[in-house]
Amino acid sequence: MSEERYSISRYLLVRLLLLIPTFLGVSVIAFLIMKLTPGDPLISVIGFGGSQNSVTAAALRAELGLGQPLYIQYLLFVWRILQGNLGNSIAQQVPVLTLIGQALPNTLLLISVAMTFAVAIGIPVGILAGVKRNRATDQAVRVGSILAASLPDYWLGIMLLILFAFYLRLFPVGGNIGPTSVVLPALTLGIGLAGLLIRLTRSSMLDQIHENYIRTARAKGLSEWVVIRRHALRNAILPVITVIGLQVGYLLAGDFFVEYVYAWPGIGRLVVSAILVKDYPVVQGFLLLAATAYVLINLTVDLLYTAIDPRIRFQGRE
Amino acid sequence: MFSREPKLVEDSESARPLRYEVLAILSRDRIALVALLVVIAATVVALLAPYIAPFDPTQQQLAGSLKGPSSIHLLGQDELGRDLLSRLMYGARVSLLVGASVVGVSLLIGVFLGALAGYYGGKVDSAIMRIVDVFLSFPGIILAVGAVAVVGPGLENVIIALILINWPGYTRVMRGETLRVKENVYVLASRGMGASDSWIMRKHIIPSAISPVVVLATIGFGWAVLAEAGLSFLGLGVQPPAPSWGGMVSEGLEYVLIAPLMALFPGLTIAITVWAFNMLGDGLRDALDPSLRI
Amino acid sequence: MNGVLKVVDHNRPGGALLSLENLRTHLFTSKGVVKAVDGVSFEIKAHEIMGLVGESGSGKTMTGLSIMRLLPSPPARIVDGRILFNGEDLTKMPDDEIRKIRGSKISMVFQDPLTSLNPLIRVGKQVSEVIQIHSGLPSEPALGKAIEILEQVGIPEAGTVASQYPFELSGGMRQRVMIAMAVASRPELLIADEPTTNLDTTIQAQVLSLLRQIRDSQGTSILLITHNLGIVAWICDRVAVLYAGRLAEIGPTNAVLRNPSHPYTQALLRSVPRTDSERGKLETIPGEVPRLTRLPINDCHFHPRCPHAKSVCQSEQPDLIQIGKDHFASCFIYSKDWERTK
Repeated sequence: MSEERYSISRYLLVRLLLLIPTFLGVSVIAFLIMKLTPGDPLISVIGFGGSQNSVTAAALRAELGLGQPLYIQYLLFVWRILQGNLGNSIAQQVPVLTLIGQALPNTLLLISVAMTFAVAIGIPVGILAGVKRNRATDQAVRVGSILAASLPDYWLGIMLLILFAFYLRLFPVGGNIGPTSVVLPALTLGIGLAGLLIRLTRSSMLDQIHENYIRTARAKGLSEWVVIRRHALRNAILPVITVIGLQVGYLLAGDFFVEYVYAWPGIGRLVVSAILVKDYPVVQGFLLLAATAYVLINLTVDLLYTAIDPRIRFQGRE
Repeated sequence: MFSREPKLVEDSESARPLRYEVLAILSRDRIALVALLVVIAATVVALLAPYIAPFDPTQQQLAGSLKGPSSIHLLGQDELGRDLLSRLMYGARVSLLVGASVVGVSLLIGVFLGALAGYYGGKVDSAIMRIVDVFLSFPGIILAVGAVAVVGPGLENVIIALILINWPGYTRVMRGETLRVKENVYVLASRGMGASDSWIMRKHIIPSAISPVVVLATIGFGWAVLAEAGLSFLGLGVQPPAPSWGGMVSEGLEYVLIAPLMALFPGLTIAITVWAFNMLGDGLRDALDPSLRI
Repeated sequence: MNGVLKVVDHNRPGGALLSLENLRTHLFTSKGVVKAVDGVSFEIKAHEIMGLVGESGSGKTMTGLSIMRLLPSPPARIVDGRILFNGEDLTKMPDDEIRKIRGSKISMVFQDPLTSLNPLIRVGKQVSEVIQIHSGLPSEPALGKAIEILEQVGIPEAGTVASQYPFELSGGMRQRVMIAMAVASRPELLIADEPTTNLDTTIQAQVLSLLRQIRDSQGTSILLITHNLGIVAWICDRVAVLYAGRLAEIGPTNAVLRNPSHPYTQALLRSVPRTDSERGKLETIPGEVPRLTRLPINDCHFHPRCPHAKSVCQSEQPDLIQIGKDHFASCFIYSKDWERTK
C-alpha cells in the first residue's frame, strides 16, 4: 500500500512540475494581450477613471514598468500576479480579483447545475443508444445528440427564454433573483454538453460491448442488464470522465454567451462586457484564472481516472 | 486476434481503395448522406448568392420593417426592412469562407507540424508539443474572443484568431497517427530502400495517417462556423451592414418579443449547417475507422 | 437434398449429454451470407473429452458459441438444426432459461484470458460472481468459495491472488482463473475454446492436465476447440474435424490420428510437426481455405484442394460414411462405386 501511495505522490509531483511551462506560456499570452493593445494603457485608465492626477499617473507608470525593457515589464507583471495582484478594472476602478470573486460563485453554480443536467441526460441516453445499436432509437439519438451539440448557445438561450419565460411564464426572465433563475441558463448550457456526452458514452459503450470480457460475463449466465451495469459501464465510463473534464472548457465558452443572454451575474458576463468596453485588466485576470482552473481540472480528472482504473494506479511500481 | 493459428480466411474484397469504401458506407448511411446534401446545398447557395438572392441584402425598405414572411419576402424582413432570406444567403458566404480558410490553414499547419513531430520525435517533438500543450490549455473560443477584442473586430482577424486556436488540435491528432503509421512494415521497407524522409512522409505517412485528420477537419468546419457566428453575435466579426448569421441573431435579439422569427431563422440556419458538418464527420468516422468496419 | 446422417450412438441410450443435429449457424454480413456452421451433427457423451479441430474460419468457435447461445448477433444466427442438452433443445430455449444453464451447467473458457477477464474487477470477485448468481450465496461466503476453487485449479496463495487484478497475473494464472470461473458451479459440459493459445509449452501442458483432472474428478464433459492436433492426441477421447463449416471426419482420437480417412485430415496431419518421428518434410495443404461467402451449395468444399477429387466432388455433397467403429468420414472415396465414378 505504501508503495502505491508513493507512486501516486510522485505522479502528482511530476504533473505539478509539468504545469510550470504551461503557466509560463499562459502568462506570456496574457501579458502580450496588454502590450498589443493599441495606445497607451494609462490613457485609458485615467480616461475611464476620470482622476486626472499626474502623481497617480506617474505612480501607475512606475508600477507597470512602462518605459522599461519588455522583459522587465513582463517580470514585473509575473511578480504582481504571484502576489495576487491582478490590477484594477479600468471601467469600474475596483480590483479585478474583487470583481471575479463576486462573479465566480454565480458561474460555479450555473456550471455545476448545467453539468448535472448534462450528465443526467447524456450518460443514460448514451448507454441506451449504445445498447440498441443500429436500431431506430440509436439513429434518432444520433441525429438528436449531434443537433444538440450544434446549437448556438446564445440562440438556444433566447429561444428558451421566449418560450418558457415570456409565453409560458414558468421561469424568471433574467438575472439571478431566486432558485429558479438558474434553470433556463443551466439547461441552455447543459443541452450541448449532453449531446456530446451522449455521443461519447455511446461510442465508449460500443467499444466495450464488443470486448471479450463482456462475452465472458454473458457466459457466466448474467442477465444483459447486469452485464451492462456491472461490467461494461465501469470500463465505458473512463473515457467519458476524461471528456467531461476536458469539456469544462467547452462549458466555459458557452457560459460566456449564456450569461450574456440571461444577464446572469457571473464571470462570463463580466468578461464579455469587459471585452466590449476594452477593460483589459479584467480580461487578462480572467485568462490567467481560466487557464489555472483548466489545468487543475485536468489534474483532478487524471486523479479520478487513477482511482477508477487499477492499471494506471499500479504503473508506478514497474 | 493474437492467435498463432494459421489465419487463412481473409475476404480480400476489403482491398478496395479507401474512397470507394467511404462512398459505399456513406451511401448506406442515409443520415450522413442527408448531411452531405445539406453541406453541398449550403456551398452552392454561398457561391451563387449574388445570382439567386431575391434582394440586395443591405437594401433598406423601412415600410417593411419587422414584417413577417410574405410571398415576396419568404422569411420576412428585419427592422430596416431588409430581406431576411437574402441576408441569410449572403451570410452563408461569410460562414463558409471562415470555415474553409480556418480549416484549410489549420489543416496545413497541423499536418505539417504533426508529421514532423511524430516522424522525428526527440527534441523536434517536444518543442512542437510543448507549444501545442500551452495552446490547448486554454478554452479556445475564449482565447479567440480575447484576441479579436484586442486586435479589433473584422473578418480577417476572426479567421486569424480561429486558426490560432485550431491548429494545435490537428497537430496533436496528426502526430499520434504518424507515430502509429511510421512503424508499419512498408515504411520501414521504404526507408530500407533508401527513400528520403520527405518522400516517405509524402508517399507513406501522410496518406495513411490522414483519415482521422479528415474526420477532425469535417467536424472542425462546423465548429468554425459556430465560432464565427458566436464572435459575430458579440459584434466582433463581420461589421454591419454586411450580413452574417451570428450578427443576425444578435440583431434579432433586440426585437425578439415583437418579431421572434428574425432571431429564429438565422439561429436555425446556423444549427442545421453545423449539424450537417458534425453529422458528416460522424458518418466519415464510421466509414474510415477500420475497427468499426466489418 | 443431401441426406444428413445422424451420428448418434443408439446402442447406449442416455450416453449423449449434448447432441448437435444438423446445426446451421450463418453470418449475415454486408458481403453475403457466411455459412460458418453448415449442417454439423455430433454428440458429446458424459465424462468425455471431445476435440473439435479445424483451421481458423472452419466454424469451430461458432459451433461453441452456438451451444452457449452467445453468438455475436448481428451478424450470426442459428438458422436450422437442434442442440439437445440432456434432451432439451437449447436453440428453442427462452433467454432467461438459457441464462440459468450458462455458467452453471454449460460453461465456456475462452482464448486470450487477458481480454476475457474484466480489467477493472478483482479476480476473486469475478469468480465469486458466477457462484453468487447460480447458487444465491451472499457475497462473503461466495468469495470464500471462489478462493477455494482458485486453490483447486492450482493457484498458489489463492487468497492474495483473489484480491489482484487480471493485469497483475501471468498468462497461465489468468487462464486458471478463467477455468476456475468456468468450473465454479460444477458444470456438466465445459467448452474450452483454444484455452492454451499464446501460452508457453510447459504452461500449456499444465492447463491441459488441469482440464483432464477436472474431467476425472468432477465428471465434466469437455468440448475442446483447437487447431492443434498435438493437443487432441494428448487429451481427447474423440475428435471431430471441421472444414469450411462441415464435418469432415469424426471418431475416436486413436482411430482418426492413426487412420485419417478424409483427405483433409490426412493433409492436416502431414502438416503437423512431429517430435516422435524422424525428421521429414513438413507439408502444406495446397490451395487456400475458400471464401465462405462464395461456396457452392452442393459440393465437397474441400475438392479444389483435394488430390483425389473427381467430378462428383464438385456436384454433390458427400454424406458421412462409416470407416470403422464409431469412425466416420464424409468423402466419396469410401462410397461403393468410387472406382467407377469419374
